[in-house]
Amino acid sequence: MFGNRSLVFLASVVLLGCTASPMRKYDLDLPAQTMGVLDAPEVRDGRVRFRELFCATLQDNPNPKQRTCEELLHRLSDESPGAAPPVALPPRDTRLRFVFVPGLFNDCASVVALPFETAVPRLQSLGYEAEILVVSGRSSSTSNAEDIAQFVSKAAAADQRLVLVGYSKGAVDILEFLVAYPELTKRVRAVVSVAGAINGSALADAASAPYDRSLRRVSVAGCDAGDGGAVDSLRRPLRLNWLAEHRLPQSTRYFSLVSFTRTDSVAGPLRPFAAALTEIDPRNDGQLLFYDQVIPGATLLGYTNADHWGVAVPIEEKRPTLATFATGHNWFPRDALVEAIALYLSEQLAQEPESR
Amino acid sequence: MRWGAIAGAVLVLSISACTPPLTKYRTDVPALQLSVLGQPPATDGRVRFREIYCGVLAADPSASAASCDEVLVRLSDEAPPRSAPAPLPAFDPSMHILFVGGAFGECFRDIATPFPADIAKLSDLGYRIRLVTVDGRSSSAHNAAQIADAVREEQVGPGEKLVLMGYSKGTPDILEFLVRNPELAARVDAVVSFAGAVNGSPLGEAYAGLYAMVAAIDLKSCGAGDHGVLDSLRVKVRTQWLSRHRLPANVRYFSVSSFTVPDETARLMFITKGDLNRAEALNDGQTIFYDQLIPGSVLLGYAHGDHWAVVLPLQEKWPYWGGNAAKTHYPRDLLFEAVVLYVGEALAKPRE
Repeated sequence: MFGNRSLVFLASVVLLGCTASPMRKYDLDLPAQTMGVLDAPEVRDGRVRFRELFCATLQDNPNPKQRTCEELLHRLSDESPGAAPPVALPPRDTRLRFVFVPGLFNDCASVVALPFETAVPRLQSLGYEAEILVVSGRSSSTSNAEDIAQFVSKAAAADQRLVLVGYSKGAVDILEFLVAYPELTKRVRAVVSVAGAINGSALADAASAPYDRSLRRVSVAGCDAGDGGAVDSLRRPLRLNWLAEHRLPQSTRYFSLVSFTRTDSVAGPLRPFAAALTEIDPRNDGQLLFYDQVIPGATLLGYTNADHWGVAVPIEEKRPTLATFATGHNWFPRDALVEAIALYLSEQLAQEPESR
Repeated sequence: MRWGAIAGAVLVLSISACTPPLTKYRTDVPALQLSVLGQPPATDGRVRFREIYCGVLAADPSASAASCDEVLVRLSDEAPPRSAPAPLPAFDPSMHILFVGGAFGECFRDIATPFPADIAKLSDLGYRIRLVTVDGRSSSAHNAAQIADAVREEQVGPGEKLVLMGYSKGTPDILEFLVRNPELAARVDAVVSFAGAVNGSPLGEAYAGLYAMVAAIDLKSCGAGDHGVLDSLRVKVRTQWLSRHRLPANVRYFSVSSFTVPDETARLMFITKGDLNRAEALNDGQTIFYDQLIPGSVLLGYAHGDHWAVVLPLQEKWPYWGGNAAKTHYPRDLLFEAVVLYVGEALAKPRE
């Protein structure tokens, strides 16, 4: 039926296709992407302006490794070139009140460092009000949403503009709060996800059963078991179905900052996770894929060249020995990053009426 | 104690991470679309399409063994069936259909004709259905020009509809045609994608370099073309193309996606199926389900078949290599008929 040349051709196509893993290569020559459910609101592009602000704030913050803004913030193929010269920095809106909601196991790991622990005093020194809302690191997003609701019901003064910044699972705790407590959502001007586990993680799919069998109910001081649902809350089917079933309130603005880096630039303890996720896509931060970190309808701020801890958790500042010998690759100008977020929101929210 | 707990948690989670693949075949997830920024999302047409497909299956005695739920996967976010389904739409022979096949289709055109039985049936009913000859081994940019020639030649009368249907790489070929030929795109009423490589395939990424080694070999059945077939299927190429172009708004878009389990995948695809399973288990042996939706299209449904079975009669022509371990046969002709009926009904109504 086939000639020899045809057989050689066919065999080449079929058999040479035995590829060494992974199929996808780490490459920045591709556009920004999001994974979404049907009819999800479109994501807007805020990368050019955010880059300008981040590059400017980087100059005013310590940069001991002398890394450039281009190195610290990935530029994917569809990011427009910035204006030349960049537009002037906006004035700070010190009515913004930043509340950081940390992620999985945050209370357990607070002995090391809390996400944005050093960024909070930096923001305070700039005139913003800022704090960390420690939620249960081992409880479900539904449970933590209740804690956030309690906080918001007491916290928001009329003259303040409340901004909830969710790191990792903290971002989905916030989204669950917004949907479950519609009477409180108008008090929240903006939500920012930083390496947010918006679509969950395939790692949680694999880990939830062994975690439930071995650790779910183990409770130690400073690391309470909570309702045990934290890892389950991060399973992709659960998160994706939640997104398919709910629409986020439009009275709040959403912003997403994504992180990913090369596997060999990931902190040691995160490297097995990064390697596993690389089978799906090498653009991951050791916990999450890059296209899973964007809130539907959000403005995409950018892609930090950092792993899941590096973008937010100041291990190097708080536990330098641990950073040197155990984690590595933790340095990132987190203070400059948070300052840039604050400036970006100052500018964006200034363009909006007081009540949306 | 607290440090021990942290170490224990890291250990348990690390061990779970070391058990590839991370993705499992599961249908308790919603429909998903991988999108570039600025492209409109897909919308949902699954309930009505299921009604039509089930009706077509029920009316065909040869398909009595296949239940609707077996051939059309229901993902978690598909709304339940309506208690009183609307009747099947009538055939609308005012429709002209130009069908564009996929990668290497030209090389196997003698045995891999799409939907042979139903195309004959619908042609007898008055539909004008033509298979567009495109290069099997050329790029989408090259094939777009061949589609332009076919559209230019097609005589579509007043009140008649022109529908382009693409299979696999045929879909990006059509999308490139639309963007490159706006004056001809204005004549097109709808585009339907079957298992379309809209975002390309990770296989395109993995195989393009290897294919380059044999790309210049001319075969009796198909020439080497411009060698660009696999390059056009790279995720990088396709997503960059989508990020730089907007599809014409006058055209209505519809997508039929496909995926299945390994046992129901053609034996010849065992390698590519295994490759894709590492990235995402909901694949059809050539493409991943979230890569198959045209931006702004109406999702009709998820055909439970492999990449060939949903369109080409290879299960019957190549019983061993085209067949599968479960010995299933996909009712592709009835799928095609249901799609034609759905699109006819949709085009008869104003756009929502």
